[in-house]
Amino acid sequence: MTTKGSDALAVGEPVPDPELPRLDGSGSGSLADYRGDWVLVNVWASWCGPCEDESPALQAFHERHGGDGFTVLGVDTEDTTEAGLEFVGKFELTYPQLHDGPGEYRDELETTGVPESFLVDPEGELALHRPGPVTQDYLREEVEPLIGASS
Amino acid sequence: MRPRRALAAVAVVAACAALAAPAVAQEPRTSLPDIEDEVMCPVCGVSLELATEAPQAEQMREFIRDRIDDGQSKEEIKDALVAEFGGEVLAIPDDEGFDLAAWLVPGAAIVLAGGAIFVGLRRWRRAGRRGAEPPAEDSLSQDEAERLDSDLARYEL
Repeated sequence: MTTKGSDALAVGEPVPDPELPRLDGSGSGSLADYRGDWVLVNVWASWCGPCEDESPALQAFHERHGGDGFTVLGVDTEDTTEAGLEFVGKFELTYPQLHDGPGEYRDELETTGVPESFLVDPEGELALHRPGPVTQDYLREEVEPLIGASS
Repeated sequence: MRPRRALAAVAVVAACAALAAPAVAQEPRTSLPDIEDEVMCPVCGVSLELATEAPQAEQMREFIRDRIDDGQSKEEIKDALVAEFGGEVLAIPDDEGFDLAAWLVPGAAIVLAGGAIFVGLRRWRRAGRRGAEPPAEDSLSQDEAERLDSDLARYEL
């Protein structure tokens, strides 16, 4: 993990939802597009080793719960588009991906590094914050109960 | 005669092309070290040339090398980096728009400071000259001169 920033968003606070370009170049998107659903915002970069470690678990979780009032939303930060797309292809990630090349959204989220994940409730407020990589156990024990799903 | 004229025209065009080709070939090609010191590694917070081991820096070098191999110019590569990472990726500010202030403000500050020092020194020299001048002989009034003489006489100096 790399370090950056000092404070983090608190649970219950509105999560910033700026418009960002989609990583695949197909226009733009925002966290706000998923209002009404639970969203696990995952901030990652292709140059980050722990991001590689957590990707299979995120993809598996999205395959299990995505589309049922829930989605994983990837945010590729401080990364080149090419490298980001290569990463997405390598891990066969099918959930939506936004591109935060300048790292401005990462600053808005006040992350302490990458990877970092934010579970956002249907009202757009922070429900859970995970600095560092997520694991299958974490997703099953911490995220699933909140989104009202079961494995 | 027409075929000959046509042949001559072809020869002239070929000659021009031959002369132009070296000019294109001579255009200097950029290099990784030439760009590294002008861009930042955003995550590392230092210029790319100083970010020797950071994974993001290595990825940026690969990005630059690929474009050098594609024959892109230094400016084209820097523009591509700005498109990916934003204007803050440039270690040297641009010479237009808001970034122009980064060039103008220090220059203006140097000129103003130099002007202030120059004016201060001139005033100082003038004040020094005035202080070194002997007092004018007629600086005492008649009454004061008489009083001074009487005082000096009283003390027998």
